[in-house]
Amino acid sequence: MPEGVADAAVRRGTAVEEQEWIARAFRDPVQRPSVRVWIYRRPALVLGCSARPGADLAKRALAKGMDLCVRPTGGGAVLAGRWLLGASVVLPAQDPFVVASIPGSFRWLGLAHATWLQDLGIAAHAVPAPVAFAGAALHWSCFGGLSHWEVEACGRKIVGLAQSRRRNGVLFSSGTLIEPPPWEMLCETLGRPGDEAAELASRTVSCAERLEEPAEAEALAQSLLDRLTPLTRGARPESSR
Amino acid sequence: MIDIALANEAWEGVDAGTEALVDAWLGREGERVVAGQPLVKVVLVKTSYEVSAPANGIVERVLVPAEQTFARGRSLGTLREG
Repeated sequence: MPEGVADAAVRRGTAVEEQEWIARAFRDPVQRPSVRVWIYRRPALVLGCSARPGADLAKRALAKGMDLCVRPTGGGAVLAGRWLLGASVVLPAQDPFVVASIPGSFRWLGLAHATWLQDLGIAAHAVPAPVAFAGAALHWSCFGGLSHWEVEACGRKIVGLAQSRRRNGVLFSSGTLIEPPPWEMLCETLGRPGDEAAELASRTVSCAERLEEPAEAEALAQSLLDRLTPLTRGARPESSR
Repeated sequence: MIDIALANEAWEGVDAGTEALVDAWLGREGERVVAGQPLVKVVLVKTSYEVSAPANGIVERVLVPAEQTFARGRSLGTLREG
C-alpha cells in the first residue's frame, strides 16, 4: 500500500458493492485517502442522489437482469457494466483537492483522466466549462452532456465525473467508457424514447473505439489506479491543483 | 436570525442561470441544531453537498423545500441563534 493511502485497489464487483464500500468509507471521518477502481461484473442502473426510483423502475431493471442503486453523488443515470470502469476516490474533508469552488474541484480529476487516456494513445481533453451538444438536452443521463472538467475525445464524452461532499469527507467518482454501452438498455429501462439511445451513442466514445482494439479491462483499471493513487497521497504536479 | 445558505465560494465558476436543487432537509422547522451539523443536502453541478448549520440555534423557517431549485445567493432557510 502506498504510504499515506488507506486503501488502493482494483476490484471486480457490482455497482451495489461499490455503493456499500462508499457507505463504509464515510461511516467515520475520513483520515486518509482511499482509491478503488471498479470493473463491473454485472449490469446496473446507477441513479444520481436526487432520483426517487419507484417500484416500477425496480421491476423493469430486474427484468433486464440489472441491479438498481442510487449513488451519493449528483448527476444523471449511469449504466454500469463491463463497458464501464468506475473510480471512487475518498478524501478527508480538508484535503487540498477539496477546493471551495465546486466546478473547480473537478479540475484535478479531469486532468488526471485526460493524461491517463493520452498515455494510452487516446487524444483526450478535460473541458474546463460545460459543452453543449447539438440536439435535445439529455440531463437525465450522465453521458448526455459534458460538464466541468469531464473528458472528451474527438468531441465525444468518454469520462463522466461526480462528487459528494459530506462532513466526514469527500467522494470523487468517475466513469470511463471502455467499450460502447448498450444505450438502448438504459433508455428502455428508464422509459426514454428509442432515438435517445442513438443520440447517446453519437455523443460518446469508448477506449475500444479510439484504440481500435478490444478493451482489456484489468490492464486499463490497473493503469487508472496507478495514475490516481500517487495524486491522492500528495504527489501533486502544479498543473493538477 | 441567520440565513442558511450554500456558500458563495461553492458557486464560483458556475454558469449564470444554473440553479442548485434542494435534495433533502436533514433538519426540521423548530429543531434545535448545533453549529456544523448538516442541515440541508443540495445538488449543484453533479455534486451533492451538505449545507451545515452556521451556528447553534433553532431552525426557524424552511424557505426552499425539498425538490425545489434555487439560485446563487438564495437563502434556503433561517436559523434563530441561541
